[in-house]
Amino acid sequence: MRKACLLLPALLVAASLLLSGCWDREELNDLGIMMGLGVDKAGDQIKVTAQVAIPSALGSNTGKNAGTPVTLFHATGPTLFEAIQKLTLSNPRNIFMSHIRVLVFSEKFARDVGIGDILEALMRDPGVRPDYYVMIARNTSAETILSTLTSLERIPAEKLYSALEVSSKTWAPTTTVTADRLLEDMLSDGISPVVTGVELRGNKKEAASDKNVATSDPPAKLYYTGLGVFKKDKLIGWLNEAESKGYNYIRDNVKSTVGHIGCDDNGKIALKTLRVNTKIKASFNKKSEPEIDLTIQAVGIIASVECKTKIADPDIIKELEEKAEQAFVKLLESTVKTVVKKYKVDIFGFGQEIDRTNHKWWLAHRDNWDNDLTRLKVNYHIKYMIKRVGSLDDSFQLDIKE
Amino acid sequence: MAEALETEERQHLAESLRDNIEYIRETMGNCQDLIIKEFQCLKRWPAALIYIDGLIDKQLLHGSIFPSLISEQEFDERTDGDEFIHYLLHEVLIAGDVHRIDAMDRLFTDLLSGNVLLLLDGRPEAWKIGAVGREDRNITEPQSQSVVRGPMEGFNENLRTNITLVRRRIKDPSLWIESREIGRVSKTDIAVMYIKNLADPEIVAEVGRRLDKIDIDAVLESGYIEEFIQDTRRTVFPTVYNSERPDTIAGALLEGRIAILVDGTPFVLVVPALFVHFFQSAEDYYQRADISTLLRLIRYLSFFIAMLAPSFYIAISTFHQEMLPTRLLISIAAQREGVPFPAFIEALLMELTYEILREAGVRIPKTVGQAVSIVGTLVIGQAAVDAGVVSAAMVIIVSITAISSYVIPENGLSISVRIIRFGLMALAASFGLYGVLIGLIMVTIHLTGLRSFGVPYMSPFGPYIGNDLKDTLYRTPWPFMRTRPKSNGISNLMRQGIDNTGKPSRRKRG
Repeated sequence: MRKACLLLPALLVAASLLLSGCWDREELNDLGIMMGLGVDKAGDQIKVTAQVAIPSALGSNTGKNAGTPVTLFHATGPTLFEAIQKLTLSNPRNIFMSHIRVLVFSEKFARDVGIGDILEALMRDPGVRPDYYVMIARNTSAETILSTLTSLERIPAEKLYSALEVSSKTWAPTTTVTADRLLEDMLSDGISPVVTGVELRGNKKEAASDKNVATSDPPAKLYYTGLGVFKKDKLIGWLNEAESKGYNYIRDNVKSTVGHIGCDDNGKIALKTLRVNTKIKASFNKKSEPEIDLTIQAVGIIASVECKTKIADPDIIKELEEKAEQAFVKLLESTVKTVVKKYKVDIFGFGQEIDRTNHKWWLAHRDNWDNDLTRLKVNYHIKYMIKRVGSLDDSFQLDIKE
Repeated sequence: MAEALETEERQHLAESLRDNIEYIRETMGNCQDLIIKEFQCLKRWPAALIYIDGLIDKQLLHGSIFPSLISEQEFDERTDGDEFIHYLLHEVLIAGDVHRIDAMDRLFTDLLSGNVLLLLDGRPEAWKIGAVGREDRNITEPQSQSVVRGPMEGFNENLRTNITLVRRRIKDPSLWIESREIGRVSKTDIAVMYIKNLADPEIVAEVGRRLDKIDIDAVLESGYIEEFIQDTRRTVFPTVYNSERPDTIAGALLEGRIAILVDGTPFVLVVPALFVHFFQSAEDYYQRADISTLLRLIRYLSFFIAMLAPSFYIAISTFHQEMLPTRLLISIAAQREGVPFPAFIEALLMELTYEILREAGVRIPKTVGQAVSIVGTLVIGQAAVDAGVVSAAMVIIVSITAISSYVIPENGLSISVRIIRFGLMALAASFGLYGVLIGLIMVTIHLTGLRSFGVPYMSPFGPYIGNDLKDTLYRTPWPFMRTRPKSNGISNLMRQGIDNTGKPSRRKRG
């Protein structure tokens, strides 16, 4: 009897534990792994495009002609998750969203509807990691971007992800924006977010077909172009390449890049920038108006000399450094001017810095900050150092016989 | 305790030689190998030599014992029995061990242990003449615990040889041996060995108590003893250590542990046995400390791999797909494409197949072993994957699990790991990593609750004994291992002198 008294509860506990297990169990081959999520506007509804990986076409043990590596599913619904759930109407597998690499908004959606609701929904879902990159499909729909097949990286979303990652490290005009950073910028006082734009160039009709990966020069290619400027959660305009570059310098996003300066005889000297360190400091002048001190320290090497400048001379190097610094100031000045005048948003985080220096002042002025911004004085302190000149000193082109 | 099997039983020997011979013959069923030689002892007294053919050293018997017994001696006609015996013992059978027996059961035990018995007419007693001689296996390299560096001799089946092998390593009078005989029918010799000043007397006494309680018909291997004396049966973890290496046993004795040698098996038991002991290999102490430390860490790592690899795979691939890097996820998903079973069933299938193969590998006659192993590897490794029954990733998991389980130097622990593995796999399949963690917590609680002869199984980790950590996860170089482990309840801790680091003395130059 006593044994039964012990055994019964034990059995009940074991049964309840074992039966309640498995509820969220999901075999790997029952998952549709969503690699990219596209959001378009369809009337007043949301059109969702899911780029789902086809594992059997991607495994190492499958043949060459295994078909396309990804497939797209579409659904339209009033909210994001309704639309996503409706994907199962055409999709045999449960959509698994943890591994989203890119989230693409169409330009129209970002301008008209705003990206806030979608981000809210995705951030709320505990199954979605917020480390995917957010981008805007420029002049096209998100669906078109996601339907484009790519070579080298077989999964287009993966290609978008790694291409952006690589170029943000080596090319100043691009930057990566992950969902969590975007949200942070959107919510923080004194800074507005930017989002990378992606564009489809070439023959758009063949972008989604096998032909796009069958030739060495694909007819349609995805390009990153400029940064989209946001006010609150809506897209209000674009920065061009130079402005994007300026923005990235100011936000300290540049890891390394290549630029050039002119020489005396109309030639060019290419400079490879290896390290950039930007500091934004706010201060108040005598009239108790805020000022921004922007200090940039950059280290670079000479990548090529396409003119007759004799770089073996240390004085020339000094001159080049000064030129580079001037070019920097010019770039940054024009960037700040355009953004402030044209879009009247603070994408650089100047307001944030002022808030840190003088919170009271900021509280009094933050509601009108976008207008005050136009009057903000920015001082540039640039230090460019050329550390090396490469394996040559003076260019051998000086010695080429006529 | 020593109840004989036969129903009608005679307690003592009779006076008449004829009666005794008849009785012995009858009791043993007239068997063929029982040899009874009747002769006139010293050409004067009717006597009989009784022995079992094959159990005795024939050379000793025919070359020296027998000739001296039948030699002609000068006697006074009036010499009576006592005087004759006295003469016999002190003048004739001077060598060897000779003992008097008067109980019948003792007589049979000695006879069957390979002694020669001398019976004299008219005297209710027998004389046991030690002439045990049996064929022994040579001292060979130990099969189960081989090393690259270190002594290559292992115990064999002979208790005497085994004791000698240990004695040769510890030449000290404080190495004590307590002998016992266990098994009503088998009457197996058992020796408890310990170093007097090092072993905890209470544990020695406890070993004796537990051994004395054993009442069984036969002890054919030390495993019998192990199951009787272990602290609890409700565990999959071994609480008694065993080894067939004399150097390992000597090392254990020097740490104050107690060895139990059983006649007829090369496997010697050691108590108390702690969790950390099962990760120590004899070689650890012969190689340099840094190498040993690396190997120790690898062993602990493989312990966890052997226990957890399949359950982690199941948990992550069915519950926590978000934890895998994207590319790995896709590559595993590609392999699982078309596999008809859930990951748990797949893992269970492969683990079982492996266990079957392993068991077959042990049992299979060597001549057909190769054929079977080819079939096994092909079936498991190639065909199953090609046919799409299991995924390649699972084969990798099962292989690494299988190999890891052999890294643990002592077989007992690797078997317990294999048992736990299946439980953890079930937990992983129903609860994911949460279940695995619950399982691990349960195993930890269980382990910390275990004791081996009163010593907490997980010491020196829990209870924490800082001093003893020097031979656990890492091995400290010998010059710094000054003290013996405290966990075994040793009174005499110092192992070394004070200054013996062997460094060249630093003399000031000039």
